[in-house]
Amino acid sequence: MSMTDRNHEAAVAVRDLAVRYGKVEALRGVTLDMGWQTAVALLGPNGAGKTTLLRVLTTLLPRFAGSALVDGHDVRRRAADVRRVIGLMPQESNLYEELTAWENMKIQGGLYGMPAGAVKDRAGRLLERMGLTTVANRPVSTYSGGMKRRLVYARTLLHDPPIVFLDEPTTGLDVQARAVLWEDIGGLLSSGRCVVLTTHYIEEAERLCRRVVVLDHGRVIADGSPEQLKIAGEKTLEEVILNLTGRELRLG
Amino acid sequence: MKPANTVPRGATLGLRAARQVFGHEIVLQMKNRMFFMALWGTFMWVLFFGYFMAAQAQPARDLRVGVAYPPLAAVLARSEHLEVAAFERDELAWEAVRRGDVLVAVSVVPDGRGQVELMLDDSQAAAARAAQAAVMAALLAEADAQTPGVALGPAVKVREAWGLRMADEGYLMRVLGPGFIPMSALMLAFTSGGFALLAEKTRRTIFLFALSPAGRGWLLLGKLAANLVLLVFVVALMIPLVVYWIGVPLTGSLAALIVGQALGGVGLLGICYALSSLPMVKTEIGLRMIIGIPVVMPLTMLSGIMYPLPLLPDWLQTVAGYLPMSWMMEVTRETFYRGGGFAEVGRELVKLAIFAAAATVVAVQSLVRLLRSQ
Repeated sequence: MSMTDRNHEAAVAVRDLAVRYGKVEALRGVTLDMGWQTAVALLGPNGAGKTTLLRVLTTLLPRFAGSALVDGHDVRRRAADVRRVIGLMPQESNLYEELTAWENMKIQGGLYGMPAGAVKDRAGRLLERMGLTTVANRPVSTYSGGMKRRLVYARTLLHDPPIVFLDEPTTGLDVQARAVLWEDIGGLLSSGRCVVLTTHYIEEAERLCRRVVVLDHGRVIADGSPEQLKIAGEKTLEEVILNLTGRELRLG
Repeated sequence: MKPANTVPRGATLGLRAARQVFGHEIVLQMKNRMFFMALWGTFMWVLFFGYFMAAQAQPARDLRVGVAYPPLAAVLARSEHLEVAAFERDELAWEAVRRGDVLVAVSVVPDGRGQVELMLDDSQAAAARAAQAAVMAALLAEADAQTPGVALGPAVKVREAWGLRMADEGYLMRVLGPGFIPMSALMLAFTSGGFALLAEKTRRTIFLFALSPAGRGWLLLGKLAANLVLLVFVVALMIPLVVYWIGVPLTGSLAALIVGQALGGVGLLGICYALSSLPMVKTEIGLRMIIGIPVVMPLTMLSGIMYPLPLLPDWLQTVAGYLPMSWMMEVTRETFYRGGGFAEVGRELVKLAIFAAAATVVAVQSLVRLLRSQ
C-alpha cells in the first residue's frame, strides 16, 4: 500500500509537520495518523503545540512545513474541502451574545450551506441533547459559562462533520455538564467519526480516548493507549505525563 | 467506516451561505444596535459640531460695541444687531475692547474729516468681523438717510439664492439639514464596517467565517450587500426628515441623490472594513484612533457639511476636493438646492463609483487576509 493510499484511508494524516512563530518552533517534525471511529486525545503542557496542531488541521494556519491531509484532502491546497468535513470547537465561547441560541445555530448552518429545514431539525435535536431547548430563544448573553460551552459544542456538530476537533471542550464546566458532554462525545464515535480533543483533564482523556498522543516542545513524545503508556510502572496517566514532560511550570 | 458528509459544494454552498450571512448581518446590526448608533452619531456630529460651527454664518445679534462720541452712539443704537455701550473717552472704549467687554470700539478720527476708526477685538475672530460689518452697515444706512442715493446702505437689496431664509431662527438647521444624509452614510459605515467588524474580531465570531467551506467572496458578498441595504435604508430615512421636519425642499432628482450616497457609502464602508481589519486594531480606542480621528474627522470637517469650504485656506480647499465626502455633499447640494439630476452630478457619481469599486477591492483583500489570520 502506497503512502497516498494509506493517507486516504486515514481521517487525519500528518507527515513531518513543522510550524514556526518567528524564532519559536511550535511544532517540530510531527508525524501522526488518525483513523475513523477513533477518539484521540492530544495531551501536553501549555505551549506544547496542541492548539497549533489543531490550527493546521483545521486550515487556520496555512504556513507550515511537511504535509497534512484531512479526509485525504491537503489542508493547504484543498482547504475548502477540508472545511466541509471538519467541525472545530474552539477554546473560547465565541458566540453572538446578543443573538439567541437558535440564531447562533442558524448562522452556523448557513455558513455550511444547510437548508433552513435541516438547520431547524438538527439544531433542535442538538439543543435538546445539550439541555438548552427551554432557553433556546433567550439571548446568549443571559447564559452561564457552562451553557455557552454546551451551545458551542452543539454548534460544532450542526453540519454533522465526520471529523470533530474539540479544543479543551469541558474547561470551566460543572460536573453535570461535563458528564453530558462526555456521554455525547462517546456517542460521536458510534457513527464512525474521528474525534480529536485537546484537554488538560487526564481523566477526560482516559475516559473518552483509546489513544493518547503526548506533545511537548512541539514534538510527539508518546503515542499509544493509556495502558500502553503506563509502561514504567506509573499508576495513572497523570504520572505518565509528569514523568514525560517534567514538573517545571511552563510559560506557554 | 467513514461517515457521510452532507455539506454541499460550489455555487449551491456559496449562494446559501451568502443569503444566510445577508440576513444574519441585518439581524445582528439591529440587535447589537449598531444601526441605531449610526443614527445617533449622525445627529450628535451634525448638531453638536455643525450647529456651533455654522453659528458664525447666521446674522449675529446684540454684538456689543463701545462708543464715546454721542452722535455716533445714537446712529449705531438704531441697528438691530448692535448693543451700544457708551464711554466718556475713546481711550476707555479701547480699554474695554482689550478687556473683552466689547467687540469693537468706534471712534471718530481727530481732524479726519468725519473718518471713523474701529478697534476690533481680533481675538474673537468671526464675532469681531460680524460686529465690524454691522457697524459699517449702520453707518452706511445713516449716510444714505442724510444724502439719499450716495451711500449704499438701504440701496443694497439682498436676494437669497436657495431661499434658506438667513434671518430666520431655523436657518442653521436648514443649512445643515442636507448634510445629515452623507453624514448618516459615513456613520453607518463607521459603525457597521468599523465597530461591528471589530466586535467580530474581539469576540472571535469572525472565526466562524474563517472555518466556513463557502468561498470568501460569497461570505463577503452577503456582508456587504446587507450593509448596502442598511445604508440605503438609513439614507432613505434621512431624506424625509430633512425635507419635512427641517424644511429643506428637495428640488432635484431623488434617484441621483440616493445613488450618490449609496456609492459613497459603499466606498466608506470598504475603507472602514479595511482599516478595522488591520491587526493593530484590537480595541475600540484603537479603532477610534485609526478610523475616528484620521478618517471620520477630516472627512466630516472638510466635506462642507459643517463648515463652509470657501472659508478654508486654499490648500485645505484643494484637499477637500479630493475627498469622497465632498463629492457626496456636492451631490446633496446639487439635488437639494439647485434642482440637479444625473446629468448635473454625473462627474461626482463617476468619481464616487470609482471610489466605491476601489474601496470594495481593498476591503475584500483586507477581509480575506483577516480570515486567513484567524
